[in-house]
Amino acid sequence: MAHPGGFRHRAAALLQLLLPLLALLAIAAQAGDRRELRLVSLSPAISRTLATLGLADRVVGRTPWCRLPAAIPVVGDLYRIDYERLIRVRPTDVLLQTPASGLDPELRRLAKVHRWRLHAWPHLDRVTDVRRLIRELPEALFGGAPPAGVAARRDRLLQALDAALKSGPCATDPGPVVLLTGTDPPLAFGRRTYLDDLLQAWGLRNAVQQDGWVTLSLERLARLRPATVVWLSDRPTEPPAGLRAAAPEHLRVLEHPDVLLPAAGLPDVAQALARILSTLPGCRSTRTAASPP
Amino acid sequence: MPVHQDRGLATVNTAPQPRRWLALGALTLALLITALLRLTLDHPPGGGIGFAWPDPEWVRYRWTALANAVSAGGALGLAGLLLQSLLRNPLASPYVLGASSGAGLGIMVSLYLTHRMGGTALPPARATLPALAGSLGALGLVLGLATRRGGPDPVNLLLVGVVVSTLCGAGILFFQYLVPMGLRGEFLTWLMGHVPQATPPADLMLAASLPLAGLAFTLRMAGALDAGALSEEEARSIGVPVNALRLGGFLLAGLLTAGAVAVTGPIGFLGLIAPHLARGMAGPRHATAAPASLLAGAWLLVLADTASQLLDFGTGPMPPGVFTALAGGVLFLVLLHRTRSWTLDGM
Amino acid sequence: MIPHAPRLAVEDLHARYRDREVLRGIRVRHSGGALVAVVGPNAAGKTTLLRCLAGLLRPTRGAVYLDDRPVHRLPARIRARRIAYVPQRPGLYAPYTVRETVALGRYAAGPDPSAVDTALAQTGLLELAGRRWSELSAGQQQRAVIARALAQLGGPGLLLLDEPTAALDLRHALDTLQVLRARTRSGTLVVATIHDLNLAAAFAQEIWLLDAGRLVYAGPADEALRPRRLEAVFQVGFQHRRCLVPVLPEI
Repeated sequence: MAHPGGFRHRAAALLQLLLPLLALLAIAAQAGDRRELRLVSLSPAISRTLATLGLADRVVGRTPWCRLPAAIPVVGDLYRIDYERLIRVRPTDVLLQTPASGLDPELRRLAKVHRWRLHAWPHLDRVTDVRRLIRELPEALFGGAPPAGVAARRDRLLQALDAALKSGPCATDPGPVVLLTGTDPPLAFGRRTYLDDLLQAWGLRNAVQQDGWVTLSLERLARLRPATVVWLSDRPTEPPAGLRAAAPEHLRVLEHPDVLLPAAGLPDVAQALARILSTLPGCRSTRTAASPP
Repeated sequence: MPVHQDRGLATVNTAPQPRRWLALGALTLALLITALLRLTLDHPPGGGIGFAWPDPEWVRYRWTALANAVSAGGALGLAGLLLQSLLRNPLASPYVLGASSGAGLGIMVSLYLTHRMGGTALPPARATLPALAGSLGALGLVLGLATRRGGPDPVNLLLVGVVVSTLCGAGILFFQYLVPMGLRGEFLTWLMGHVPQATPPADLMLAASLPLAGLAFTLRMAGALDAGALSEEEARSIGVPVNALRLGGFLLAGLLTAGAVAVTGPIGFLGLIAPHLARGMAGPRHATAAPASLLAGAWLLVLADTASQLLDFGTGPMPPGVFTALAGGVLFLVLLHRTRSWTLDGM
Repeated sequence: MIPHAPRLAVEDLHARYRDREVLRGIRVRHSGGALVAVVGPNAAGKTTLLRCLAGLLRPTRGAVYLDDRPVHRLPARIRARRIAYVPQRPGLYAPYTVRETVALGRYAAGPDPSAVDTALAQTGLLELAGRRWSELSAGQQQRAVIARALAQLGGPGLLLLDEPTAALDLRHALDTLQVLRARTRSGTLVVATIHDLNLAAAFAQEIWLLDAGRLVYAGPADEALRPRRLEAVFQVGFQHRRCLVPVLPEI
């Protein structure tokens, strides 16, 4: 043990030298990652989430239905991929929902040949699916260390989602609710859909008992005797006349660009939905009940 | 006293023999030129349209699309010729007689059943069998219901064909309704008709061999098909085995339709237009009309596929099925107008 | 098969469409070349008899024998080499030329341009050979179908014609019958339904008189057309009378 202190000293010096270098390398690697990332999204919901995470400028290919800048080329959609265009936008990552019939074999082959990373989410139906998408997207793209901005946005989103689930609009039960979209016959959000999850979390009742999205005739709608019908639209349109005639006083309209997307806009949608439900006659607001003046 | 019944397309039909072979050459040339167009038409993402030999990385997609369009289009053209000749009806086609939608229904049912059993989508090669069952079933139903004493009645045939076609369409919608939302988009996309850009080589071979085998059979039957233009009684009296000819012809037409639909989904009007174009150029004799129909069908589908690459309204290339149905329908009305009395030709 | 004159035997022939019996026990035999006219009122069964002879209609009882073989059991191609049939209303769907139409007759026996040319020449259609079928008049179409039947047989055989002269003017009717008559010399048995009794009498060597599905007379033409016999069948009065008749060509 001739130079114990000497070894320690040398190790410390080495560390002192190495640490900033390591840090620099990590930053450089991250920066490199950021520069190289070229994303193709084959799902409007994923595109929406990418945009909310601040990654819209990384998207080099999209579907016709993604709300992304028009300058980003369309490379097909979930069901029909334009392979040629896909190759030509030179993606590093392809993000998609797994179609019900499975991943396209040619897409798999291409991913292997071109070393694209394929990120497929099996389904995006429920709030938990949306949460998983938000949580997993940054990790999938950046590994364990997403850029600070992305991580911050992700965390804010997850918090907002949790907050939206936690506090319902009504302290009292305003009666069964039906959430409809489409025209004639309208499509109802049944059980185990992301908006039904919101209702359940808020202690409200969805009048529709079936799973998934259910076509509802006006007669069946009437027989469900909903206290409220909320008609959902992602663009400014009038609810169909038949619906207005069937449920004149219970009809509410929720118009929100994200209402039909199980994606990052969900917290916003939840707020908007809560606002509408809170105006129902049978709903005594939780806000007034929770915090009496 | 000569009766001048028409001056349209049919006048061309008196083309002497050399001109008929010339017509085959012209169709081949048209196909080659259009194929070259399809191969070199460049529409880079986010850019304009130009011409360039494609990069080896994606040239395979253009070749595959080309091969699929040629084989499916050729099969439909040939099937249309067979049906029009056997039924002596210029309005007959795989589409009008329910064979196309029958094949579609067959594929839908099998897709649905595979989905129910937890499987994934059928590759086209395996979709051929259910498509065949569907197309032959629909064709058989139409022929069975439309046949009166002595043979299929032309008007009845079209009426029953339209009804059976609509029934199969309704069946397709029914199965589309049965499947979960996630699959509906897939079904709908398939229903619009498209030319696939990625097909396993084995499927490609199968799809390509079908019209070739069909052509070989049609050429073998060419003499009988020529004679089949006579009234049934006359055809029988000159020795044509009419029943065997019909059975073989319908089976072949059903098989060709099924093969085409399994590859591209329903492509409307191609089977109607191609034989008219072919006969107009190469004459009514099947030794030339059959290869001409195959070439015309192939050419038209390649043309439609090429045009669909150009027609992009921001939602991706327009499905060629939509294009053929639109363009083909209009063209057919024009043909019908020009050759109004062709139906009555000697009948 | 060595071409030879046909031996036709009709034995107790019955035929029906659905529940209507059209032929009721016809018996007749004929060998060798001749022109036979089948006459009788409407619905007597003339066309049905022809279709049975052609092997196109299966008899409900009895049979038609050609060279001792029942015609409805002959394979289509074999039958077509020996029996040609010209329906009253020929139909053609495709826009073929006249030559192509006539050449269709060679379907069973194999292509034979010289047989086609001969048939075209015999029916006076050589100049029209390149015309489209639909550009022909009804009479020319009729002749084209007869040409097809002539080309079909090539040599001797059984040639069946349903009202071959109905669409023709007198001149062409005479020409056609003359062609048919000439054909009988090479051993062809021509059986034709002929509405015009005068024409039948002038050209046919034998007449089969049909009434309500029964053969009431079969024999030489000059004995067939006796007023009393015809009155019974046609139920109108008949009279031998001098009248304006075209000068018939040498037979």
